Amino acid sequence: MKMTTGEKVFQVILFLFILMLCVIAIYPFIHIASISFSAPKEAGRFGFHWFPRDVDLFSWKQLLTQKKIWIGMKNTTLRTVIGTVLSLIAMALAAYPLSRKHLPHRSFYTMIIVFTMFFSGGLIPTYLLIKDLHLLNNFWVYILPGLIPTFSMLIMRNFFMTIPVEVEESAKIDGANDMRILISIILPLSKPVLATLGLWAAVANWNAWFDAIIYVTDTDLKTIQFFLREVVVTSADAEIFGRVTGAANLQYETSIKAATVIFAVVPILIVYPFLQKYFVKGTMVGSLKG
Amino acid sequence: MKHSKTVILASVLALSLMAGCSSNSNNNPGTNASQTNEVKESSGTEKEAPIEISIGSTWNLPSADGNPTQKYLEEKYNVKFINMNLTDESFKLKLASGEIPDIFPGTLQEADMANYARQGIIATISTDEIKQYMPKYSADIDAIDTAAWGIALVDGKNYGVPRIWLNGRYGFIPTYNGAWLNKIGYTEAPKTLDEYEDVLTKFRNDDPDGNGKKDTYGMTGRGKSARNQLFNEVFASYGINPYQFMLTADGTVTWGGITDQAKEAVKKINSWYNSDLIDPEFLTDDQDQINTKWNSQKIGIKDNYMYHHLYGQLEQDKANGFPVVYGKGLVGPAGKTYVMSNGPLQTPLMFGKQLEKDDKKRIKILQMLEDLATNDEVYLKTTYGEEGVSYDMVDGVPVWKKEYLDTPQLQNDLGTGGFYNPFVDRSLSNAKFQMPADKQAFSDKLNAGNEIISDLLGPTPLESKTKYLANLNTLEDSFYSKVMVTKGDVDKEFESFKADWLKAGGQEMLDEATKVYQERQAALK
Amino acid sequence: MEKAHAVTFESANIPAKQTKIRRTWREYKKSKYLLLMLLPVLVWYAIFCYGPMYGILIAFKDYSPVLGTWDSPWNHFAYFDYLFNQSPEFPRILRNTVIISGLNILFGFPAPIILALLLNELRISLFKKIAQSISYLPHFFSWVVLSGIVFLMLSPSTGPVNYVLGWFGIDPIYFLGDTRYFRFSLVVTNIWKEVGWGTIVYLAALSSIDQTLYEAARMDGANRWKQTWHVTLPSMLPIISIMFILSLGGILNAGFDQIYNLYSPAVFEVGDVIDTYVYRQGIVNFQMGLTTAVGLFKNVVGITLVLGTNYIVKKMGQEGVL
Repeated sequence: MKMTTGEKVFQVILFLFILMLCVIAIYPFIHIASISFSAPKEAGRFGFHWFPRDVDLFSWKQLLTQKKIWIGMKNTTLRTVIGTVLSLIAMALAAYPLSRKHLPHRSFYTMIIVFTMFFSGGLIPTYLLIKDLHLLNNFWVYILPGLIPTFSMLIMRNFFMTIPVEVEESAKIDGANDMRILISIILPLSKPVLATLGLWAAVANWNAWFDAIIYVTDTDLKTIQFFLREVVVTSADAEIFGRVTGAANLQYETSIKAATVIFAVVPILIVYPFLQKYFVKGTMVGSLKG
Repeated sequence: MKHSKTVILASVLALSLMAGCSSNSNNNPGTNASQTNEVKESSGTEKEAPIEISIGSTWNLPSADGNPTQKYLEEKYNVKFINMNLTDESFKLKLASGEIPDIFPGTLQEADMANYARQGIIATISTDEIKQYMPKYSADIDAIDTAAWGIALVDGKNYGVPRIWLNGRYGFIPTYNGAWLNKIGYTEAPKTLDEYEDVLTKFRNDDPDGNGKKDTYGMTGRGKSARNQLFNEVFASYGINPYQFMLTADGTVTWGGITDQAKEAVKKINSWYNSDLIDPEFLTDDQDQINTKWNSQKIGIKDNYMYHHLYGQLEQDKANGFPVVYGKGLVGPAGKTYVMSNGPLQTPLMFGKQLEKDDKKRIKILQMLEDLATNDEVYLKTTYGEEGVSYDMVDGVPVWKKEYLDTPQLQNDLGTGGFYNPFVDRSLSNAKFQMPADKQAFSDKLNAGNEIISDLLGPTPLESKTKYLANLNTLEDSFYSKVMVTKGDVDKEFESFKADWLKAGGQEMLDEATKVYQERQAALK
Repeated sequence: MEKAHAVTFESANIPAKQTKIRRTWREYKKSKYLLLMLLPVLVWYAIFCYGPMYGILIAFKDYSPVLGTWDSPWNHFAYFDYLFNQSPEFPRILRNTVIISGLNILFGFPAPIILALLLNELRISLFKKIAQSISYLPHFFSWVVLSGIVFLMLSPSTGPVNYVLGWFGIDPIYFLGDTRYFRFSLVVTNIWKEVGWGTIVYLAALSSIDQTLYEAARMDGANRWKQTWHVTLPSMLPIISIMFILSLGGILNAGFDQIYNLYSPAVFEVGDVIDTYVYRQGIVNFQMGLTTAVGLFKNVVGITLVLGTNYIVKKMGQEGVL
């Protein structure tokens, strides 16, 4: 494809603009990572941190030798994988019927579901419910209460609604029931949406920290975000900080906090590049109108 | 169509109601055990069943049940502990779901105490009984501040064991870059407000870091939060802190932020700001910025720490590579070396309502608390563990063994610390164990000669505080931000603020504070 | 959905209600697989969403943990009265909330769409992929962690933004400390944090556009801009509509985390929002009921806006939320 001069100029400007955007988007990561590898004087330095002028691996050693952060990482990974898969299944089970215009009482069901996006009983009754369901200090408390993110589910529903009725009708003529249609036809056509919503669910699971604070008292069940909060939001009190992170040498406080942040973030960052293949143009087979 | 809708709606509602109704039973972990105890006691000869005590503390949570500290205490006092393993957020939820611990966390505010008292969540406990079963501890309290006995009063009844924070006896320390002081011709820290102003001016204008650029400031401040710390040494030299209750000459209570002294202090700060001596970013700076600017020698004065924080900073100071000079309170119009302090008074240790009736448990707890606070052996065992194993005694002060310092998980495994001993750092009798010789020397050096300015009432619950304080503080925070950088008439703006403050509930708050204070004074006579 | 009421011989003898039930039953049988799929979902909503729903009552009660939700005494609209009438700050915080949210929607909503379109135009596939993965990085850090960096970037003395402004002869601006620029700073930094992440859903939509539409347009002589206007945007309208409606539902959530970490008393006047105000109240008091009441207020406003925009969007021919 040949480009006109106008298009060439546009591409150059676009490239520069996106490049600039990337620089300011990546800076926080670089800043924090740099501090995590910095010796105390450098870590405490005022200003920008592009690379550590004085490298010290103590903080990373301190962090990685703590048993509990690996427990946290394990729990977070488990909940992310299991939670995302189950969420996608649950969302599909909700979104598909609601996307079919011929579902009896369709608007009623939609209404009672959307209603829950805006009105909720709040923390105390939810806590009591979790308690009654014996989900306290139970791994499933990370999965079940947040199983269906209604916002995402509605997006999936709307996407299903854009798949032409003909597809469904022709499958029905071939004798398929709704379940089969969903699994064999609809879902394969929905890869970008599934990838997006799956990513959203994965990140939500990965970043969740509040449930670990209030529903779980067993240290072996805590998530990495819980430990991250402990470290980052902890007071400047030497005694408390030393207790939490093991800095017998308190001048490592800044770099240990930085290392913890990076540790908690890197795994989830790796996920998206693997999903990018679902976002390539033209993955749709057949004609699908927008 | 309507019928099925109704059915569905009804069943959903029914489900909701059922969920709601079933889960409101009060669940006090301790009640059953105490009943069993009463039964067993009357049967006479057999060994008493241990008393169950649930601990709701959120401090120094032990790694697991059955840790050495727990076992030690359980054997010694014939009790059984239930570790509720809470955080501050989950504590409020546990309360809300009806699970009331026997021992409450120590991190609560006075408004919480008043609320809990009125809602019948915490137990009344007579000061006579406390003094009876905790004699040494009570003597310690009296030695520090008898006002501590008044803190736990709500509607005339006492709701907890008073607590004091030892470091609250000291104040914030103005700290200076020693290399810079030398460069501008000072051999020691400024002593008076005038000297301070001179140092401030020279730190800004005379290139103290010698790099040929005018890129240094005397100081910045905590303008973003914890506003009572902002420029605290300056306000202290005028004898006040803008966020504390204080006594007036005629025996009534006023608020530091509306006094004439505050106005004068603000005028001074304003003149410094307009002379470009203060980092203009102080309005949004916080600990992080203050510390990094200090480390990188962008500012030469900081006032955000007390001696024990500064002690913890010594390693960082070494890494930074310049000498640090600690100053005393500045002598200003108030004529003394005053420093700001948050004071030693703290919200008392509270107990769940169920302890009111359960005499045995209550008394047992008081006895344990007395030992935890004042008995050397018990204190050491619950704070440091086993001598020779987890710590060594060096000149009469326990020092953690190296692996316990490097891997604090081991401390949590032992169960030592504030969870089983709420009096860590809060016990005069055992203060000696918290202070190795060098730390004690450091404290003496920094704190000697300073007189603290702290809140007249401490964490006393006041109705009007609950109603108005948040808004009053917002008003004051905003105003002070403006007036410190204003180009207008400080006097006029200040008077207008004062009127607004009093009208917005401030007057009511002062009246109540005066009443409470005078009642307390009368009670002490 | 309901079939027209057919008059037959038999129906003269059967009461109307029974026919309706029978018809409904038939419809249910026809869609039985769909309903079977929906059933566990509804059970989940019943348990986890409607189960705790009675907690809304706390907004109208003087809540006491000892008494629990049902037995705590009613204080009716006391919290709302306190919030609207008695707090001197309410008009200000409501105004700030609406303005900041409004600005966030006005600028923050289109930003990821525009970025998605721009990314879509990149020819070098590798660069496009890398750029996508980098652009969403700030989303993963909490505001607690990012705020320090933001202060650094926007600093009037050492920040690069002011440095660049200096090239154009503009005096340093104290972005986060100046009431004239604070809201603007909130909006821009929020975009910086979220724009990359926000593109993902739109990139997904873009990738499902039928490529033959583009070919047809090109054959009709449309250039890139025309293609975008006539093919891309219309194809994205469904997803844009629903994202827009749903984002309006959160209009009174101006972003507590961000504001709490970036604000200071110097900018309370323009930056204090409902959530930060309630948070400060809560420090001084155990204000469980007030928080619930405020939440209820926000949600009532939210759902009203959602229903309203939903209606408008449907009138425009798009699928809405309901």
